[in-house]
Amino acid sequence: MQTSFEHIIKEYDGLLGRVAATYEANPALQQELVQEISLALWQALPRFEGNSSLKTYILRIAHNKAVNHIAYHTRQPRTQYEDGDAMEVVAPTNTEHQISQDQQVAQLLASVRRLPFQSRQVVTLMMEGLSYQDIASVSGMTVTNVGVTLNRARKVLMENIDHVG
Amino acid sequence: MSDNPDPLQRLWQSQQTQHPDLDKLRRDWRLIRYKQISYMTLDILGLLTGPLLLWLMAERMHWFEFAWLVAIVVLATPLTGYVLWQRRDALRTREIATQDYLVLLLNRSRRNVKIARVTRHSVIALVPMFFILHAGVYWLDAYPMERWLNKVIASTVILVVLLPAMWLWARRRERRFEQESRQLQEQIHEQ
Repeated sequence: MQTSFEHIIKEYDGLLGRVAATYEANPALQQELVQEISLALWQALPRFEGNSSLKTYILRIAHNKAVNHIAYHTRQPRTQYEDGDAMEVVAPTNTEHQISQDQQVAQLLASVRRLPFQSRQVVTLMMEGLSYQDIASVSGMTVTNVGVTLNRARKVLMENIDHVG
Repeated sequence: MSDNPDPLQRLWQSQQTQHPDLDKLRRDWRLIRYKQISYMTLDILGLLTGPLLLWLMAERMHWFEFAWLVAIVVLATPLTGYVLWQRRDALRTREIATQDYLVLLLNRSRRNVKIARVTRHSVIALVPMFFILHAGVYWLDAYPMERWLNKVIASTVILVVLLPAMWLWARRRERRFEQESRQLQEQIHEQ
């Protein structure tokens, strides 16, 4: 394994995990998706030409791999184990503030997963800090459409989460 | 990110996530390489088997059997080429925008439905083709009756065991890819 790939994976592993969490609620399948995305990235990185930022390129690969994951699981019936209750990855908590934040994160994730596909992609790319231009290049939408979709999705999310701010 | 002014961004990025398992990644990478080499080898072998059989067995076969096998190879080669082309198409497309990628996946899924359908029909077409082979060999009196009968029995056993299994497998694939196409179609039109 190339060292540069390991560095990239270590630098962006949180981001890859968040993309997986956007599309997959089941913890076992989420882990599987993280692995699939990382592998796709490993295959794609040698073709990175610097036409966008590395983060934008990684997000494009990751979202497309997640789309593949959804398509695959549509045609493969899930086992009972895979259909188990969704549980988010939660670190041990001990303060009231932490518990409240965990609840908000869980609400945010549940709301994001209920969004239509395009809105879900656009809003999560925004939450990763991408510009409208970059979101448009990853999603394939126009910049104007990104703006409209994002405003609508943001409104839905803010309504569904308690006291965010 | 504490310096992030957007509350949604801050909340989103504070979530605990799963991390890639680097050791498993290395193992998966090696497995993928082995699989790629195996598929390539199988594809090449698949393409070469027909002509190789023709070349090796030409002298032992009746001319009618030889012509029949040539016809099968000629019919199967474009189909094999098409499937190979499909597989290559799968490798270099992950870097495009997601909307384009969805359209590409939808087209691929629809092509897979067609391939499964062609496979299903090809399986059925094998029955009359074997009938033509044995009828022709019988009519041309190519072999003694006993040898001809043995060949008919062997073909019938293969057809009875293999064809229903292949037909069912192809139908299951066809249904799965139809389901996938519907889901992708919905995803593309979701706003």
